[in-house]
Amino acid sequence: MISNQPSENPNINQRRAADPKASVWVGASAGSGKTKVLSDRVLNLLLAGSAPEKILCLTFTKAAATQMSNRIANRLSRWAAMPDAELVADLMDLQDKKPEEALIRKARRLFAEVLDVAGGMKILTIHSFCQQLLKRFPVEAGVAPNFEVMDERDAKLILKNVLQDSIRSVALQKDVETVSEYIEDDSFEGIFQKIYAERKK
Amino acid sequence: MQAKIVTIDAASPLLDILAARILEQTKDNPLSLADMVVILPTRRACRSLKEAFIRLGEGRVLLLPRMLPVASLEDTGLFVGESVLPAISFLERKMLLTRLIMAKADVYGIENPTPEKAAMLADSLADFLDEAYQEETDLYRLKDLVPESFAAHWQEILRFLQIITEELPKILAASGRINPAERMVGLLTKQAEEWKQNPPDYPVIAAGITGSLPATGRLLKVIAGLPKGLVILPALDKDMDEESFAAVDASHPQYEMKRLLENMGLVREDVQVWHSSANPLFQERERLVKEALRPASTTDKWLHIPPFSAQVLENVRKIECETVNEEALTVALVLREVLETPEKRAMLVTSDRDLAARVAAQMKRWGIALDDSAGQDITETPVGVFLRLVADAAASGLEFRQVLALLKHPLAGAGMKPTDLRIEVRKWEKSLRKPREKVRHPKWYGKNVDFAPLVTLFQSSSEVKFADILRTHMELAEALAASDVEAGPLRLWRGEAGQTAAALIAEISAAAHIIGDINPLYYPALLQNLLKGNLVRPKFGTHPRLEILGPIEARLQKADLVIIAGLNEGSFPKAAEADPWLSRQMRAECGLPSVEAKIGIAAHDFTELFCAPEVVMTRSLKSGGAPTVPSRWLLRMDTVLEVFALNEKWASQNFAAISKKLDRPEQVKPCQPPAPCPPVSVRPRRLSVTEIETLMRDPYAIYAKHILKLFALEDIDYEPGRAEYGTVLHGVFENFVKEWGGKVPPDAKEILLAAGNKAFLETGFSVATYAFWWPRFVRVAEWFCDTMKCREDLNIKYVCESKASLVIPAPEGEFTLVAKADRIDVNPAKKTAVVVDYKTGQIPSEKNMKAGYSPQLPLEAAMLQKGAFSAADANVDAGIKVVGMEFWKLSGSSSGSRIAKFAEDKTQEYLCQEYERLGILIAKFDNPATPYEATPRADVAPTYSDYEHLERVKEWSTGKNGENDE
Repeated sequence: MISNQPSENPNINQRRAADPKASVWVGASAGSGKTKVLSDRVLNLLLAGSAPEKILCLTFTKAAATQMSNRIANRLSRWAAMPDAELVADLMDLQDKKPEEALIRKARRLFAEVLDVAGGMKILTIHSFCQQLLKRFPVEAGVAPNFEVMDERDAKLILKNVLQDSIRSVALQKDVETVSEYIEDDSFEGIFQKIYAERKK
Repeated sequence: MQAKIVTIDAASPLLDILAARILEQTKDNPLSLADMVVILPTRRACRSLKEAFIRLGEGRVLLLPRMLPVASLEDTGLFVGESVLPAISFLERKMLLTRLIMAKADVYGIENPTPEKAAMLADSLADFLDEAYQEETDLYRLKDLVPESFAAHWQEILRFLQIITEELPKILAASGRINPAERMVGLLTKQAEEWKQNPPDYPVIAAGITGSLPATGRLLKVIAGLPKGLVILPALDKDMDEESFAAVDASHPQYEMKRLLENMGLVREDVQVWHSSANPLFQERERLVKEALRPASTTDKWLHIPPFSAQVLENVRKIECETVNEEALTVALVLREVLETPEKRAMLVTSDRDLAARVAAQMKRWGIALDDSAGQDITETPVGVFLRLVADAAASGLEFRQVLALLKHPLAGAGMKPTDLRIEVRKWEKSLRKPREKVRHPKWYGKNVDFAPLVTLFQSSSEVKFADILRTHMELAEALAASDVEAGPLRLWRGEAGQTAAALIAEISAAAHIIGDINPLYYPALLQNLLKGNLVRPKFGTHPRLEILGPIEARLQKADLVIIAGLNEGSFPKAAEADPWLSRQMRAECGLPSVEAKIGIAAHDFTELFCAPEVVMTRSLKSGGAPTVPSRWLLRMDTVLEVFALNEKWASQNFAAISKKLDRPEQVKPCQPPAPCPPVSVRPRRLSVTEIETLMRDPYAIYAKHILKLFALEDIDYEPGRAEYGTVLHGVFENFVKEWGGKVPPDAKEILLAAGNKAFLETGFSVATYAFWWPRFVRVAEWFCDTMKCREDLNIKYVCESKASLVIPAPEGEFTLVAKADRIDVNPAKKTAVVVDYKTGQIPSEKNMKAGYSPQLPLEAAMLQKGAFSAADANVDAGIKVVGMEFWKLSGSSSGSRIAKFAEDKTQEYLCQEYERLGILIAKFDNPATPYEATPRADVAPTYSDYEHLERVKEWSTGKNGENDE
């Protein structure tokens, strides 16, 4: 589905993007409702009967994952508590059609179902998704399943030690001699940190 | 006691009521108390029941029933103990599994099997094994599980699991022992059989046990069938509708109870109500939490339940804090407030040990010692840290930083008075951090301590017996812990942590042969891993009315006020971690409960805690900088309350606001730049030309150096670099010019390089630092040679590193200006000279030269002209005229070196100008009203100063320009 035309009513495009039957690529500026579209898609999937544990949402940041979880939980919480008339209106707004009685009941129960889903609703950062994979397949991954992720402080300390070791490394001698000609006197101290920072990108 | 199996509501104090009823029943025959057996969920519950008896006995001398924690019947030495095989200890089994994994790592496809990794895998296997035994799952059934789509993967896992399905059982069988969980199940089973065959004539009561293990269920069933048996279930929900109870799943608080009833072959109707709170407030609160936590599949009934009264949230507070630290302070405030009411008792329950530690720390504000009863990991206690430091120092080959860290530990004594050792260590550290110290040797200051045996083991190129390293390690640790008056073992293994550590080390050492030989470098991490996870619990509560507990310890515990803290997903409840060995489906096929069962247990704990007389619930909105997700139980309660428009009715009292204010000053007053004004009598009367520059740019630095006499220490891990390179350049050129005068021999370059190489080696550059600076040195040396060659003039005398001293009259007496010139090029015939300064850094700008902020070279020129340089050095009489100044910029990058020259007129102009300004400057600081300001002009402030932190530059430099907060 390609729609480059900004529609008169932004809800229409958002609703089209939130339809789980279509694969979509959404690009929009900050604050224009991307997270809402994503959450709506998840809600539509759930209403359509997808098991919550079979939905995987990946985000880049922890903050985005939490925001999405909380947004879905809040909407579902309201569905569970609001009077019938309001719920019908909200479902119509989401799906653009009048909900059946069974769907209304389902919508009400989704709140607790999502909270209780085995293994938790999978709204994760890419990092934590990979960690879960490693923990689940320790032998294949060659790690102990109860591994812990190093915190930033430890990582910095190890990096510092590695840098100190590396300036003693004979293997580096030729390379350093080569670059020596091209950099300023005062840039040597920081150059390893810079190389490391670039490597991460 | 008519009914055999009963339940009590969550709000009622089970242990108090039980004690009261037992006393009532035995009041005619108090001696019969001693025959009675009471089985409880935890050791702590046993202690609390004992306290309840004593409280209710009102000082009477009582015989007490035998009280046993259900999970450790074996510790009581009672009943059937001998009939079940002894168990291997957890630690020994872990070591055994570690060895088995290491031995066949390649077979199992485990990459890089360090002993530490093997030990971690061993933990995971042991957990799986314990669960299998507790649930009485036949491990041989694993083979029959054939998940078709993952057959290859499963075969690999199965092969790995052979360690626990085949190898471990063989070894245990040979030594006549079994797994700890197997023994626990065995004891429960035997005891059940024993009582079934021979029903005792004394009363047996099982109270508060939720445990749904099949063996527990069998025992409880037998107890319920005894002539004087009674089973009291905690808060079985008898009111829940059938549809909901049938839908109760693993994460529901009633799940354990449901499984227990199933295991006992009972239904809820078989269970009588033993006691129920008559307080409508508590009834309503219990109804709220039960409703909120009802099974998901019937939550659409929320809209049709009877409304809650507005009082449902009476005595319940919910506090949301910004950060974990704010939460800790808020909890501490609530605890502190409790103490204002005489006799009132409170407990903090959290599964977040970090939060518990923060609360304990905050309580110290008010001088209240409150320990986390959940305990502290042995590796985090002083003795645990000390053992690790000893191993790390030896493993590093006594690298000085590691040794320093070790010797600064409070347990270090090394046969000396610990305070004396500390003084020695500080002296040593200072010598290591002296600026520009070239050679450093870690030096040992203790008596009777020999590092060599352990260091030698660590340096061994082949594998070493784990037992040998452990023994040598402990010998060294004990020797290091000795003081002048106390033996090492006495100081090392003292106190609760010391005793726990000693017992663990003894256990590891008894089984050390199992580990066999290891690469010694892996030893520190392996020992750390073996010790980790063992907790040191304070034997007695540290406060009579306040407690910090984990949810399991808090079972059956009651207090007037209960704080449930850390109510975020991932903390309470903790996330249900996936089983690394079996998929959900395979677990179900094996008869193992879902991993979510742990959430159900936590939910039951939460329900009980929520029914306390007064409840405070807290959570933080952010943790570790990332936003949090509230606990599912909070969300569920909010949702139910929303139906009745009660959601906004949570009382929060302004604790969070108070905690925010507690540490905030009334008014933020940024400090002013320091401007000390010491008496003239202590002000320096002697400064060098470079210090004159500092006095102009940053007077405070002169104050700190010459009046306070403060000198910066180098970083402990200082690496020789740029500054040392500059020293080498100056030295090499000085020597060269001294030796050859104005001549430049044909092999000048070789001479310079040879001298440079020697100086580089003496400086002790690391390989890469050497590689960076050496080519630069070579380029500078070449440029220097060529330049000298170009100006070769045998009439010129070169004077290097010549010292000068000039006395200047000043208001408060004579002032001495000193200088050392890099080089003075003298023409004796013409009685003229040029002053030269080598610069590896920036050459002063024309602007600063003019403005007088770079007075060094002009002042040297002035001194020379006034005959301040000693005649012997200068080789000329006074009356010489300075006709030029030159900065030699020595740059290591190609074609960066150059000379910046000042001709005779400029030289004379600057020379006069700076000498005149100097007189004014000295007079200014001879005025007692002149302060030593910190960088009075930001645009000419030095780029680097050792005293920046003392000047608190960051505080006032932002305060000046930044906007005020309020």
